[in-house]
Amino acid sequence: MPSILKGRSRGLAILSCLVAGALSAPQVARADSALQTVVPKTLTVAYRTDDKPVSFIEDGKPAGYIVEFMQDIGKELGLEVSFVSTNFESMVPAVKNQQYDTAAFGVLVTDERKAMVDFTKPVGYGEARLVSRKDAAIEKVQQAGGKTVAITRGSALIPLINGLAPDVSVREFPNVTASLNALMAGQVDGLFTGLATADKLIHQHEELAGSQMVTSGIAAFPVSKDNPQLLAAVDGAITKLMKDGTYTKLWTKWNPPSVEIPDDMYTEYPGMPHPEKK
Amino acid sequence: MSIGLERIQETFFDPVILWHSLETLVVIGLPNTILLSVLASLIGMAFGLLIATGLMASTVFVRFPCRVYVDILRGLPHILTIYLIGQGLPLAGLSIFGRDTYSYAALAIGLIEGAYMAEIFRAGLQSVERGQIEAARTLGMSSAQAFFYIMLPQGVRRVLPPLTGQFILVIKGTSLVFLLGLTVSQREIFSIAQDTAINSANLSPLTAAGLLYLALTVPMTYGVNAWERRMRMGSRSAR
Repeated sequence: MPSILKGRSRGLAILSCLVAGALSAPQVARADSALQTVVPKTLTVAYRTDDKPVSFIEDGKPAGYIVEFMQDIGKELGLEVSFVSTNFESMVPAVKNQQYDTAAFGVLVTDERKAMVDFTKPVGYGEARLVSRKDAAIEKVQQAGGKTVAITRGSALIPLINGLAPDVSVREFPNVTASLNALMAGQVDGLFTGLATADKLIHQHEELAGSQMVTSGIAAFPVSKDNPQLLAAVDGAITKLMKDGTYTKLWTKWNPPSVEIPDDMYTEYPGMPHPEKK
Repeated sequence: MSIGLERIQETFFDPVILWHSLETLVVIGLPNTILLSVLASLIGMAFGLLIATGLMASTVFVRFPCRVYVDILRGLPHILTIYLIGQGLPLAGLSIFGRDTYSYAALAIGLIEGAYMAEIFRAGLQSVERGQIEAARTLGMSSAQAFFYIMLPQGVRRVLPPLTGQFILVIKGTSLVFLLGLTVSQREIFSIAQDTAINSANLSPLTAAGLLYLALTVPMTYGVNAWERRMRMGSRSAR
């Protein structure tokens, strides 16, 4: 079965799983009873509690657009989704060791990480903006050379800004609140963060201004190299949810209107619907 | 080898990742950790001794504020205290150290440790027999002289072992400086290990950091113990 799955298109993979599921349990359209997961019949997913609106806790429950997207993937696979909160550094190693099936977080795909785990099809492209104080505004990310910029620790935005403004001094903070305090107190000159967060900060604090938008690389879900069936099934589910408008719907639900789906996503998934213009 | 052991080895003891992370850890992290530990310990000892004498003061106006200081700084989560001092002071417009993260962190960790050390010093100072102080006073020493020449040397010597434990906590506590934001060259052992762990998707850098912490704390413990033993023997032979 694995060799068949690898060779065929992802749509076919899902279809074959559907057939297999239908054969074993004729009454219910249970998709993937054949899928091996860490906990049987459950998709065990690592998620972050500190990245609003992507993945966080609201009213004691996991929430955010990637969290809801993962719940929809679970439905497609016929698996119950169970979310376990982790910090970013242990997320990929734990997926590698099959402690979790995957992570509800768009992990930036790098060569080092690809050596550890497999990645699904893209679920996003990193987009970011540099936030600064209006009285000392940095209009372009490229002008950050010689300035000190706050970035959340371990973020894939660090190599990005180092490439755009080689003389920049990056100061890593544990979270965006600490970065914001440092910016407000004049301890740093700028704050480089994901588009949604940046726009929220600029909206909330009128003394702040934003730079142009810049993009980084592909973000995808990690899956253990030992489980190609699961990878193929998740890929199939992602493709379906992209094309049927589920992703677009979740994106508009959770992101401010100024944050748009990257053009690369429409290229990657032809036929993916655009949000309705308000 | 069982699959479980193999996974442990790959995740925590990958020799290539361990070795690669060690270089940055030793060249950048180690000096920063030592610098911050020494600064914070000095501030902690100075505040600790001051507060310890305050805790033993006869007037309630001195004793009470010292007691409040110890209770609050020992009771608050360290993360909150470090944010309050390191981010609170600049936000209030009191950028006393400019943008120097390490000064804020050393002050914050030093103040916290001062509260713990105050109780240790107080216990040591109070363990010096009253008769010795009375004898010193009878010989014509002022109360300050009796404190500095009789009480302090003996009191501090008696609390060296618990004080060593506190120094170990300072060394490990310096990792909290990351709360205040660090540039690449400012990172201490644990920050570097965490960054490398995120980028390599492997926890071996944290193991490397653990080895460095042990390399700092274990020799220090044995060093202080040997020093304390020698001082004890010294004082015995002088009798």
